[in-house]
Amino acid sequence: MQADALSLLELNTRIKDAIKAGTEKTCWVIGEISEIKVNYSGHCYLELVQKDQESDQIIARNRATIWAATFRLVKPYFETTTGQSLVNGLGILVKVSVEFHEVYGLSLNILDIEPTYTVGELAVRKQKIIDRLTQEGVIEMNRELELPFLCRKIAVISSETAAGYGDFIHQLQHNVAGYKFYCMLFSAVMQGDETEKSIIKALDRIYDYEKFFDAVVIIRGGGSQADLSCFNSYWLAYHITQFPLPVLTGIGHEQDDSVVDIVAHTRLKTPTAVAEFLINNLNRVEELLDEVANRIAVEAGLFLESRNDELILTIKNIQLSLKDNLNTIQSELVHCNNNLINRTRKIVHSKRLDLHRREVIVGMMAHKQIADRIMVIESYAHLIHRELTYCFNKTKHELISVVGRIRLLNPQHVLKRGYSITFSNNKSLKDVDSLIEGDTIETLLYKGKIRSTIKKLTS
Amino acid sequence: MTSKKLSYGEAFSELQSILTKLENQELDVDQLSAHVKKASELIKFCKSKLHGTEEEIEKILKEMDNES
Repeated sequence: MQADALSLLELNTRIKDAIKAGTEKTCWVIGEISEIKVNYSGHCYLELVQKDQESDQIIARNRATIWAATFRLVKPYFETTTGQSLVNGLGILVKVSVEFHEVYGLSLNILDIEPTYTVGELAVRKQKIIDRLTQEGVIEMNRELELPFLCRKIAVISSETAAGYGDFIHQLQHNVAGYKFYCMLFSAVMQGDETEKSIIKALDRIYDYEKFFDAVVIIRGGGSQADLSCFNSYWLAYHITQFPLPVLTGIGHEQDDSVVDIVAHTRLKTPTAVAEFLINNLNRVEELLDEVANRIAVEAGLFLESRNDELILTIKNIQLSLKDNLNTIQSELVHCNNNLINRTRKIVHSKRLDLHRREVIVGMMAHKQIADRIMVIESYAHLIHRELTYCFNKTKHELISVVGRIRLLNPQHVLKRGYSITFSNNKSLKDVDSLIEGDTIETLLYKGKIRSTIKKLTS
Repeated sequence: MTSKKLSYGEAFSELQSILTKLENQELDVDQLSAHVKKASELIKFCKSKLHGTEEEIEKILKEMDNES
């Protein structure tokens, strides 16, 4: 028995020969990457598995290698075609040769990769996630959130060192309009296996400040074209749909939208595009504000203008009606004036007629009266004349008789008859009582005077 | 001026309502100046929200930074 025993090398050699004989030189194999690493010399070492579709249990497993020379060629081709780097969980179609090395054992030497398979496989997987989210009725939930009017308090999920993050912050802080944004970084791993968990953790931290932030931004530096699969994660997408704040993405890939992009409120290509979107959003808000402000100014102006017009119109109306009134009053005045003149004329005329009539009557009456008076006066005059004549004659007769008698009484007549009158001091003397002897006396005679001195008195 | 709690949205909708009143000519001359004054305050408030730095927010952010 012992003589039959093979050395390990003999056995491995037999296995190697058997494998060589029993397998195609090369063949196409479908598998899923469960492990992948690239060493310093550029060789890529993978582990490929096949899982049971129902149970997800691994039902086959193999090591595989892509030698550096091949890897340098297939890697960029794969990545540009799929938009995806070679990562865990990725299904791939590879051309392999089965190698068995006596020391290192079984390994698949990958000679080529068919990226279109992965594209299809990814698409199917993505579609499954989308279908599931749709069935659960959550796919639209974040999109249905309303972006706050003033979206400027931003929770940023990114890797702190990513160039995209720096660009994003720079763009926001240096916006031309000078809007103020408040950003808080919740750093997370943005590629590889940890991405899903890391972003969900960041979302959970942001959830504590839900009331404070206006929106969440998930950004990843540009350039890293590949590795989309971590954003086609059901759980991450589900978290975003359930998140109370709008989520904006700028994950930095040009081709397909990831599931995260699909469920996000707003999907943008790059971090700077997200920054631009936020700035434009405030631009719009400010434009609206300016428009309302302008319209208020215009409306207020129009309002004042129309009030002013009303005032002017009212003043005009008042002026017109005043003018009307004045005109009416004036014409009334003219009318009154004319009336007055006419009436006055009439009155004056009738009064004049009346006066004339009266004048005539008065004239006639005066004439008659004067005539009457004249007649009376004349009759009186006649009477007076007769009376006067009678009186005159009578008085003349009486005078003649008196003159006769007076002539008889004249002293001359007495003196003629021999009587004389004696005067003392021009007084006629009737006795001697006032005389003394020696007085001078005058004696008037009919013809001439005697001046004598008294020698003796006898009574 | 306006109360501290006033949000941008509230201020903006108040502005819109002033505009509506103006457009519908619901105001008389005496109300006009009060409303225009209010509008200019609201515009100033909105502008400051857009461009100004709010220390209160900065403070919260700083606290947040210290916690994490």
